[in-house]
Amino acid sequence: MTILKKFLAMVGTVLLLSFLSFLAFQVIPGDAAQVQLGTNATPEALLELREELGLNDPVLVRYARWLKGALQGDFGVSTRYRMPVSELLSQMLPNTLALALLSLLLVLVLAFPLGLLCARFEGSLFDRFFTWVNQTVMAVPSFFLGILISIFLGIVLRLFVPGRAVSWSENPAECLRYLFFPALAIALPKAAMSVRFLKSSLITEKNKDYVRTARGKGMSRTRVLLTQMLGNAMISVVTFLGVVAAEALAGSIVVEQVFGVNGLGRLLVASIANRDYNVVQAIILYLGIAVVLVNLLVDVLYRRLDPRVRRQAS
Amino acid sequence: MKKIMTITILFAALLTILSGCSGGTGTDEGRNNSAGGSVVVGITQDLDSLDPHKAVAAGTKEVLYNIFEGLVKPDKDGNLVAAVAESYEISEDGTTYTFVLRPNVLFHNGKTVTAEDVIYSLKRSAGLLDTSDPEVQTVAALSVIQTIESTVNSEGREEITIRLSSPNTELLGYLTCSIVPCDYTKQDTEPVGTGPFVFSSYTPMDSVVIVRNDSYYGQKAHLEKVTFQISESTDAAFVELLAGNIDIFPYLTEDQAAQLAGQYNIEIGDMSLVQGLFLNNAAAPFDNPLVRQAMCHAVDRQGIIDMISGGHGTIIGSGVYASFGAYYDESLAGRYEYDVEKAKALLEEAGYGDGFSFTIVVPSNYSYHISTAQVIVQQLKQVGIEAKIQQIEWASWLSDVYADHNFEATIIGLDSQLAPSDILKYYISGSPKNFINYENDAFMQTYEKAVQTTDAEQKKQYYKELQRYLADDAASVFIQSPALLVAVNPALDGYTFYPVYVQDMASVYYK
Repeated sequence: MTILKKFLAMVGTVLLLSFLSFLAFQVIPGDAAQVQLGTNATPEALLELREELGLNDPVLVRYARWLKGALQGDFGVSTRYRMPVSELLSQMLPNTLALALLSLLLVLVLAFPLGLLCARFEGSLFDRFFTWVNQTVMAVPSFFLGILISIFLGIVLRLFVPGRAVSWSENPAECLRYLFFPALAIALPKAAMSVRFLKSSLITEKNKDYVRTARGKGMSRTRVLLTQMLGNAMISVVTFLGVVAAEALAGSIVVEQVFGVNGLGRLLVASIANRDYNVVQAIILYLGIAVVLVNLLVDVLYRRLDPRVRRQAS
Repeated sequence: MKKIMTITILFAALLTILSGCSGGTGTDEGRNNSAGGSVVVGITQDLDSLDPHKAVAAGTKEVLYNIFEGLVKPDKDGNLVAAVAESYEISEDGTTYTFVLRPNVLFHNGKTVTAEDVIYSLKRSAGLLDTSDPEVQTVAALSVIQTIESTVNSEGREEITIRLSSPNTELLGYLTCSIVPCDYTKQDTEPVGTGPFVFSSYTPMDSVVIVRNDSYYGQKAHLEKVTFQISESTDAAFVELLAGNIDIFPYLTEDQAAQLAGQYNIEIGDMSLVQGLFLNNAAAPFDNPLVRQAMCHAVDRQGIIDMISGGHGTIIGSGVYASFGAYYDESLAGRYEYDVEKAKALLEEAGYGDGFSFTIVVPSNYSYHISTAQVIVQQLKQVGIEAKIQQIEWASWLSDVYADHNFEATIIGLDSQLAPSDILKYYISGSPKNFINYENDAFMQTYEKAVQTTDAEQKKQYYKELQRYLADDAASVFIQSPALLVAVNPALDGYTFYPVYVQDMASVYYK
């Protein structure tokens, strides 16, 4: 029953999202016909092209038409690139997914060891040093970090050629090598936040009774930390990681621009500027589904981590 | 003796190291080959269409120039030379154009160009086909075409005869319109033309690749392959230039050019644009000619050029730029000298002695125009005018400013075909291109005469008169034809500037 309710809520959320983004295009000036015809537009040509693109119909009719197609897996044709939206997206999606997974992996690899060590040796030189590093990295936005990485790792150290991205279909190994640097730009600030989150949750647990009991029974600090506290601390950390994952999947729009990664984020920005509705709708739909799925995953993880949630549900 | 030897060897070693360093810009995979090789050209705009009849953006046309040709095409001096046509003749009364087609010109798909293809292409551009595609950019100037016929002349060559409904001696400038195969439907995705390069591939937001056309009828290109790489912005392209990843980049700012000076050759040409602070002649206070004249006196054009392009650029005083040669009236550049007192006096006379405030709308994708706006805002403060800058998206600009005329002032660059009537089409009353709402009956009458006259000398006089009208009425604040700063890999030679905005890759070669 709850599963069904959850599923319906998910579908509702995605539908509402797609409708709102459709409406948003009614508010902003300019449309696809205008962008396509540019400074050569005459009122007659505009009218004719709008008719062909179906832009003259009322909003609700157009939304219904789009929805009907989308439900059947047909997302229409891009007005700018003259190719089916699904084909266009399938060119960009692997890059964005690879970037997202890579940055998520980096976040996990960096955050867990550091968070655990900082909590275990709270107040030590090690902890104080990383707290300072964390504060600094957190304060730097990803796109700026991206520019710094481009300059120092790219131009000065020549580890990669800034602005050149190799696509997944061309060469997966090269693609990952090039994606490593944008992934680093995305991951560092998020990893820093995760370290801080993990550390503070662990420290909150530290003063609880069960820890004292475990310690009293003679368990070592490290063992209590790993076997007892980590599980409990994870409950809040998972929520935060869920947000991080959703953001990563949603394509780090600005970072994609900085590194010239041919991904969904860049395509989304370009398509909004071109008023390429079909492409924008499809990307928004993808983003919505990605975020909703991540939330579902977080819910499932909660149940595994927290028996209280499990009991409440049943 | 031994010492001298050692020094010589050391010196030689040092030279080798140094020369090794200077040559080490980026990747050279088999590029050092004078008859061939490949180059990467940086561009900052994605293409708006691969179909030459649908493309509007100057940033698209500069790329497609390499793939397509018209009956005639521009050379670097602004003359129209034969391309798909071998020769042409214009009747004395200016109503009949006859073209002899060049025999055995091949399309990139191997088909021979026939009169049928030419007629189809011209009719498609003129909007004369029975089934029209609304995306095709109808060239209004071609609407004077009444009939197009093909015949075979005494030597067995195909001829095209174009008859016009009224005399027009400038049509040739519009016949650069691309010739495409008549029965080909994939122009949108796999374009086919007759030019010196063949389309190879296009990846949205990433790149366009073209390769040499080995069966080109004329002087074949030197380079085997050219990649137009689409960068997110001038800044992103600059980073790639520093990394040595781009060989040619045409839109540098002055600062960037200075930083690249050692690594690249910087070539300076002309953008062939009329950059202006365009004023809505129908909106207060710019409906008052005195206010517009005051604006012209209040803007220091040389100051703008010095400030944002290091002194490169040509001041203009009306709606035509210098590449038009004999049609261009250079005396107008000094029509409104920079004079704060005069501007204040004119404002006083117009009843705006205390100044006023207005908004300059600038498309956010053109950093050059934004910089210009920032300088102008400071200059206008001197005469008591408060200007605000509002950056809007290109799509909004097209809709609000260009189509709906809902603005006070905007900064933009206007481009043109190689016909003086084309650059002045923005001031014709009732035309959808007249976004500044300029109205002057005398201008209209002279414009018609200028287009129709068959007397070359008379034509020049008419066009100069038209420029004077625009200047006298202070139709807008005409600023400059901006300089184009191009970074070129020092190993390359032959980069050529044209009086229209194109990147001709056929002339480029490795030294």
